[in-house]
Amino acid sequence: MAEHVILFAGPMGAGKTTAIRTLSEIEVVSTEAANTDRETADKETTTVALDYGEIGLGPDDKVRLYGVPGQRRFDFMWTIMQERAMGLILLVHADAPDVGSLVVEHLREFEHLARRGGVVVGISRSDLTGPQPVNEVHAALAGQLPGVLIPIFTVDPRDAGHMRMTLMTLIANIETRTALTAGATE
Amino acid sequence: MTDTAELMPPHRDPHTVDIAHRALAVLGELSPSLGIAVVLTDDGFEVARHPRRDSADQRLASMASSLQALSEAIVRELRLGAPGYVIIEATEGHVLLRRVPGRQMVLAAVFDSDESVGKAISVSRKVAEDFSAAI
Repeated sequence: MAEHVILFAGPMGAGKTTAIRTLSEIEVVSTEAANTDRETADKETTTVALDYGEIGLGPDDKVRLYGVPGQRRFDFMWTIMQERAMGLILLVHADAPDVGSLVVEHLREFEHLARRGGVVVGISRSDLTGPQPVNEVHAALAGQLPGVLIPIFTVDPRDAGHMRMTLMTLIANIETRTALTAGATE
Repeated sequence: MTDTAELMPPHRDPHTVDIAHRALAVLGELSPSLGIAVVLTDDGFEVARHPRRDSADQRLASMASSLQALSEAIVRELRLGAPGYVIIEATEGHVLLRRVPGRQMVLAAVFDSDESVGKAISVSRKVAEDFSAAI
């Protein structure tokens, strides 16, 4: 992998900052501000620029983990950050209204990255809803992006095992896509 | 200020919005080369804008929020104490960001190149301090 930048995206309150804190081996650089939009997500703070964490792969090699703000008014950060990324972990919360459409909507925003890199969908807070959101996301992706391989997991962003599995699956997804693309051009 | 007002986000509090508009008008009087000025919440909502307009475009507030947060993160990371202001200097003008003292709000001001950076810094400091005191 030439560049190891992984992006965490998804709506406000899905657990992006928590996921990066769970995975990172360094103290995460956060840009949190007091959240004045309690109607959208009832939490104290929200990310307004980015979160940044790292995982070491060796003396000179790192996976860089970037989280972008969830609110659409910060979509310029989505554009800036996806240019550098090789893969996307899209986190959505299971109790969001119409979670399938939410995933499709976000993947459209990150379409450039989704087409050239890897994508994994992580569904958080599924303990509140049962398996139905996974089925909804699966159906929405099959309908809107047929033939595109996008693994879907239920995750707890606080759980290191969950997040490592999600990250490893993303890396496998990137490598599979790269191999398929190379095979198609031979 | 009532309990209700204390709980209300600044961009929805008519008292705060009114004072912010007046503060920005003073900034415009002190600095004729002021192009646009915005008071925004830390999380990127526009509280007031000068000159006033009805457009719903809050791009400047969102970008200023991100930049202010990044600058404060760098100051924290390098343990440089309390952040002061951020300046972006360009060929056609400059942008200045400054926290409103003691508030979860930021002043963003765009000046054309006729304004000196020194004056922009000093007038923005005065306006931000007066605004904070008046809320």
